[in-house]
Amino acid sequence: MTESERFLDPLSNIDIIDGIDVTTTILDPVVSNTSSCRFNIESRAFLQKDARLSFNLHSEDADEGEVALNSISGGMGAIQRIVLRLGTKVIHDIDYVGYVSARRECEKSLERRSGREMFRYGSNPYWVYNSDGELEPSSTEYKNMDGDNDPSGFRMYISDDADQPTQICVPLSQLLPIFRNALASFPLYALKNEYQMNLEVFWADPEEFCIVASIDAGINGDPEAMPDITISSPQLVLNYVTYPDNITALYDKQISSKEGYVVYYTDTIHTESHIPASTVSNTTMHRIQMSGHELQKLNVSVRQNHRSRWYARACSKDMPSKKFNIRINDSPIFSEDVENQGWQYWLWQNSSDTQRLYLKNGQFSTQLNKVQSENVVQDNGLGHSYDLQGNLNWIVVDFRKDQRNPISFGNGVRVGLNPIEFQLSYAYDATADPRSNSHYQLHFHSEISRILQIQGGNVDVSF
Amino acid sequence: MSGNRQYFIIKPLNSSPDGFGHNSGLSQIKFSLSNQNKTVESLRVVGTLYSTNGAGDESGKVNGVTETYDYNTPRKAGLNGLFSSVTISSKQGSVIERVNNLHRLSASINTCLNTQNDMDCDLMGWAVNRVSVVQKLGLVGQPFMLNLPMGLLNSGMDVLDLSDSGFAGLSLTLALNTDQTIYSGDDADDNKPYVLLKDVALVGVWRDIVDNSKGRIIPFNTYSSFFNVLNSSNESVSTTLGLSNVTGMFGNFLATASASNYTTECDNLDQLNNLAKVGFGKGGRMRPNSYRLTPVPRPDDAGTQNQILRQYNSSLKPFNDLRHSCVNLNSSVLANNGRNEGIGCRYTTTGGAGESFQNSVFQITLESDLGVDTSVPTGFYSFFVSQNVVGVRAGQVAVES
Repeated sequence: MTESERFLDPLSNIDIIDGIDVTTTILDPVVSNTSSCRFNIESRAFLQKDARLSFNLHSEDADEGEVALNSISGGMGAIQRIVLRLGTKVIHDIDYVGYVSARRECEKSLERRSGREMFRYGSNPYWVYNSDGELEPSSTEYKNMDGDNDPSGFRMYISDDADQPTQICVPLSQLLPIFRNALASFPLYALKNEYQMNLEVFWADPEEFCIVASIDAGINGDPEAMPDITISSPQLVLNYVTYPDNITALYDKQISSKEGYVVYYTDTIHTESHIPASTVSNTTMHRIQMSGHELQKLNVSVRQNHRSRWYARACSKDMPSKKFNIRINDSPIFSEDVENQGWQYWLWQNSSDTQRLYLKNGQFSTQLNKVQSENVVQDNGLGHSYDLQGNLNWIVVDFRKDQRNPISFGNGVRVGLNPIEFQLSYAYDATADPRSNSHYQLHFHSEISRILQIQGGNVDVSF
Repeated sequence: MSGNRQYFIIKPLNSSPDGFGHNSGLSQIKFSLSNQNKTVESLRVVGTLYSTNGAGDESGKVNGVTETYDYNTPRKAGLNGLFSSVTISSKQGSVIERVNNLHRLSASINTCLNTQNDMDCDLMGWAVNRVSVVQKLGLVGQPFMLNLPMGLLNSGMDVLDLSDSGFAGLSLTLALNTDQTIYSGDDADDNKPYVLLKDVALVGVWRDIVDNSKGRIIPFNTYSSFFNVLNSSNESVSTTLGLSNVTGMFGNFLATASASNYTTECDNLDQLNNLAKVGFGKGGRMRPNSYRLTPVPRPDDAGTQNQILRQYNSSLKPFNDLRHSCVNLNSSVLANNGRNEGIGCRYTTTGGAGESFQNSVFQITLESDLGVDTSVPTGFYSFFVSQNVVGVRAGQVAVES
């Protein structure tokens, strides 16, 4: 049994009916190096959406337990950018996908994250309340507090042994929205050779997704220097499904018809902006050119050069006294700026599929009294409270007309000639966040409607 | 579904520069949702909470750093416990739904419908069912966001029709609880804090609809609240509900001496002491169980999975969903959170229409030693979940029951 075969779920009963044949294939990349890898997916049968990307991680120059996966996106954060194409037609090209993964993890229940995803991706939601009601890492999960100078690591540490590396397996549905689309199917057999599906993955810098133990004996010690992390043996695990002839004939008929086989799907596009450092209150306007696109959701991640010692960069920072508004087609979305943090929280919560967020106290806000988080005060502590406090704070606004409609096309807001204007204000507050006088980087992940059409073996994708 | 979703914010009709609260003299918050061609999909109450001590100084922690006092706000009810009653009425003044004792209702709903992990994450409703967390609630200018536990506001995305063919606008009135009810804890008893709510608003999403002016029949869920006092160890309570389509009933207990008292929490969910038997009746007949429920195995200090708790929990939701709850079904939950218990029953197992109590008296008999620590008399807060119907046309509203 190969390593990747261990990740495969058994076939469901639904698949095993007369006339359906499922073939599992483990693909090695056609190109693989330290910064990226690419897979070519054979044009045969139908691609089952339960496709998975597996890879190995190990540290070159760290001792066992010194370096670990961040506690929110885990190993998913190792993927910096992912591109899915049919030939040269780009279906998805998502940069800074670690932010998307981390945000989506916040919308999953703690049971799901601790019971399943902790072992798949190495995310670790085990933050607990101490006797004073403050949030701190679980002493079971966080092992760097045994009273001496030798860090003994974390539960989700990255192996230091190249022969027994840490293995990560990510369903592509976690990374690529089209694999979550209930209405999408992938009749690969119908594609001409030049439209062969291919997947390209670019790896992230360790600073993006790894956290490092402290060697200081005192409280709130600084972490060690980031060791080298090697990503190796990427593989793509796919199931090809062959349907009976009568079902395939229906696809053939549709594909050869005038309109072809059409998939309406949601894409995520990334844009970036910058806020210069300020020690006073600051209001900035960020314009996102999205003319002609149909916008469904706007997700804004806030980043600083400083990385959280618990989440690495798989996080989005709260800003003191933050308020925002959005103008689309010259109309404000909110009649007054969104300032109340409860309102901000609800906007994100309301946009999620589960209509709930699963953040523990301290992870959303820097300023709620109730959500004071605790720095680790044991002998070998790591990080200040502001490395945890308010680090899972995304700005999310949902523009969909009908949240339950699985067809994305026509369900969003069509953006006209003028760019989307995102206005953001905040005020430096040394108590709430001592680093709020540094500059910020904004990452916009905009979800838009797109159309994929397969017609007579040719593929077309809307812009 | 027609029309774009739009976000709205609605400010109260009344306001005070000092904020809302009993101390400021403005203990009711009134909102008006005007008559317009929109349907409200989702509605939340947002605002900022200030705790002020008896001397008039803001007290608590700023940014969680400088700890002055530890005041407890309701940990099971969350900040829905700020309100004693919520009334939703038509513009002509017809009451569509009114729920009293919201802090007791929220306490049961929150603990019945959420796991402990869910409640640990209830960041903006502030219902964090942990003893340790509640100790840190010294509050200065803290934002909140509440989903009011009103049936009408949680009956689907197509119910709150503000057009002429619907409710033709609605009025919403929130009445604040007393400060003694809201706060608890030793520091609270010493310093007599009081609440000031500022920047209160309704926020949410609505979408445009076409007014067909034909009127419509709108089905919705509702809670009806009742209060009785238990004075006897073998108590029988009869109530004329006047409700049709009752799908469930649940209740919880609090010593009347603790109902508005700085030293005790307003949302305790302790069971009656030595609760031995519970019987539910309808018009003189045992119903839905034809026998009296006994806690088998009997409850002890650790809490046990027993028939009474199982039926209490299921009064809000289908039987097969019991795992999604932090009602004390085992001792491990009790250790962190205090008891989460009550009594209740369900009148439908299929999510059907329930039973009519329009012409029948609801009866309950309770055999116990009354309140924990011999706290007598004991308040019995009961809530009935029913399916109601409102007929609306051109602003004229007729509620069935």
